[in-house]
Amino acid sequence: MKINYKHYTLLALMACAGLGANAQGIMGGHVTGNIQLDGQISSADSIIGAQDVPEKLLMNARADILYTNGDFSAGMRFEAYQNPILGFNAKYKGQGIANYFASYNGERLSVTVGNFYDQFGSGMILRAYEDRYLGLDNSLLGIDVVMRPFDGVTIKALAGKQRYYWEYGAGLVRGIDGEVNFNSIIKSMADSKFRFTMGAGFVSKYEDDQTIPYPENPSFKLNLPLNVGATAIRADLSYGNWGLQCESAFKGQDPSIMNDYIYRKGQAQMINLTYSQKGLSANIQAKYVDNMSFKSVRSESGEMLYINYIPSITKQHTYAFLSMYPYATQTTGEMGLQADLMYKFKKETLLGGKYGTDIHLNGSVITGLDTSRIGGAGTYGYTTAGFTPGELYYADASLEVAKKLNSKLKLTCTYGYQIFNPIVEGHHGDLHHNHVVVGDLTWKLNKKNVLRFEAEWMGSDSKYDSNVDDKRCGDWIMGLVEYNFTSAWFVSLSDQYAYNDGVGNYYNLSVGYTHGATRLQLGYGKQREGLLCIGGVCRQVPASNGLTFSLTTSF
Amino acid sequence: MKKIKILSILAALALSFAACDKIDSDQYVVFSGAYGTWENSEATIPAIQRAFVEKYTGVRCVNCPKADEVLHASAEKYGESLVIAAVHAPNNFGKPLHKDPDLRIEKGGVWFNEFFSVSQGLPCALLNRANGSGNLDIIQPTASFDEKIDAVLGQTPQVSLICKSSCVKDLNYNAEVHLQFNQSVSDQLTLTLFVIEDKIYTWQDKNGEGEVENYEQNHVLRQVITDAWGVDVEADGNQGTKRKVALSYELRSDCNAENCHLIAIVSNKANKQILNAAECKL
Repeated sequence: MKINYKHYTLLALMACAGLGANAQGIMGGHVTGNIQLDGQISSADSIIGAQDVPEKLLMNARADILYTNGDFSAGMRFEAYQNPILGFNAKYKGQGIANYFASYNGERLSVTVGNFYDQFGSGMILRAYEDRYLGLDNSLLGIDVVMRPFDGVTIKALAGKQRYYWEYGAGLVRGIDGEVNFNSIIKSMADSKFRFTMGAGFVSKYEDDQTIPYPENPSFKLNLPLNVGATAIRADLSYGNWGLQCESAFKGQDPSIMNDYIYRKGQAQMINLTYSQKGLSANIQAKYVDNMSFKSVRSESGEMLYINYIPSITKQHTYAFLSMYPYATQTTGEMGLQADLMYKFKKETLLGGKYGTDIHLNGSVITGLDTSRIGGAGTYGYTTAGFTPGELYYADASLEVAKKLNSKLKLTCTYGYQIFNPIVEGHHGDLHHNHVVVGDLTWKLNKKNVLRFEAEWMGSDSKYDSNVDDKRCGDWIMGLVEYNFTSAWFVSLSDQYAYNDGVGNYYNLSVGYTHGATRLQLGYGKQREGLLCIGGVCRQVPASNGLTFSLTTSF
Repeated sequence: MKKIKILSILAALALSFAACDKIDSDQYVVFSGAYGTWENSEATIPAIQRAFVEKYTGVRCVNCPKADEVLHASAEKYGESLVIAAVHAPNNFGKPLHKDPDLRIEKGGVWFNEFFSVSQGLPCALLNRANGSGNLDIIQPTASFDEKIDAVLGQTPQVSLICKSSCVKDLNYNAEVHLQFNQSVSDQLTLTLFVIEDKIYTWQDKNGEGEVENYEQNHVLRQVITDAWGVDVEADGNQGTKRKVALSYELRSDCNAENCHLIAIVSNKANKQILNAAECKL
């Protein structure tokens, strides 16, 4: 189904009128929005694997415009990919109104028609969301109703089709979710230290039948379920400094390209225990996922048309080498644990010194499931040995110590150890064992001028093999100098170099300027190919060599 | 109370969303009706001419047991050279007695209606659906017609064939047929596959004895796998050409596979005359 421009012409005109009126005062409402422009010029570099870009210039652009008037709001988003910058799916090529909606938000009732985003619980059965950096948008086009019949009870009901680049997927998604806050509906619990919320949801997708040949015998086909259901129940409890969140999700038979068309049911379990007090916070998370890829179109293997989202429990690192091997959630099956501890040594103590010392300790381990294969497409697929872990996928341990040395200097030192199994990216090979050390020194020259130095080292047992062509392999060093001046400008220079068993020298120069809500950034250098992951959801980023620029503003 | 009512309504609403199909494990895979493509064959195909007799019969046909005796004797005499199918006629003669299973099938009725008039008496038979002096040669099988069978078997086969059958899983079967053109054939040929079953015990009206219980029905046409008139043979028709085709099917669940055979017949598409036949165990 193609996006129909006629449906929202009026909306667009209204929004444009809003701009003409200096973003204010249409019938008492107001207009807000933001614009983002990202461009790229890249040329070939055989060492890093960058390809020539025939168009010379690639560009992604978008503008969100929102009109609000009391309980009513309406909005639209224009997107242009002329052509998509490297790493974005070529199916985005084109431009137009990608998103439009109108919404009423009353005290007891909210209704949105058009494109909408919503989530049930942690998203294990439904999460319609957008991440512009991943090139991901699985908004639903349809109707979303949220009812609050009385305080403490929220009911959501929705139906729609998911965005698929410039079209909409063939699958129809229906869902209903309820959440009860017992502290609100039971008067005696209103002021209790014990807080308790429960919720449950059900999502069903419908898709027409199609012929998927039985691989063992092409004269037979798979008998596909047209309606696939998923349900989840969740609870959120807290008492004083303690908190506990847990959610269980189950999915009916859903043979799809993601699970090789097997008929095994799916399930996901997640539990999170937290503790926090002044100067200390800790949490432990556990996750079990078995065959929980849930898409509205069974034959879609790409990043789009996911109905659900399996939260990641690995730490999302920011330093370059620690994030070189991001972990991509394996929706087909994984289990894992994460523990996280943040503690602040108080001032004027042995370890705290004059300004105090912050430590952040994190560890996570993710494995596959211990399975026994029954067969491929057209079978139950496999059995599992309960919650027994299978092959190691990923392990990460890191310790970060941040200390203010004096009134101008702050030093952050990080050590990380990671084990990475290339099978999570679809490759075979030995485990990569990486040690990473990071030193980050911030020097506040004065109120408006800040210098930052960053040095990183990564030692790995992986060696570059041209047959595998994983350019992350080997031992690396990196240096970065960043200067922020006049609070508006910044310039940074960095270089990553594979000095042993690897290939590549990735230098980058960036200059940025910020004025009010507007930010302009220019960069020149080389980008290593790899995965960009946000919350366990990843996209492949190819190597690039050249100029990048970015402009963002809001009004 | 009001809150409970509202929650009950919402719960009912939630149930209305509870659409989730369940596929039983024996239904994960179903026959798609697809046939394999024709390919060249490397198989050794003996140039044997066989005779195909289709006997039209019925459980209420009192003289049909006599035809069974005649055909049984011929089968004993000719062995694998004689291929037999018993088609229960789509009229009152074939209507089940008491609570017996109905041995009539739709595609058997298609054949009967093609070859015979409404007033056709039973039993009757066709031998390779051959024409005798311009008209279809309808045989009265209550007496031996071995001389006609001998005449067919004495011909040089224009086309010879072999068939193979194998069980994939439960009631799912694969079939493979190899054809060889022993002479050049310019007419379009068709290949028809079907399943017959022996040792089905039913009531049978028998001349002089009335209704006989546990009468043994043999060669009963149970299932036509292809279209009633078969699928086109994709071949150039030149002498020496060898072709094969594979296809799969699901055996009807009331068949006893141990008593079933697969029959393949090659016919002239225009006049439906049968050139040759082959039979194999399921």
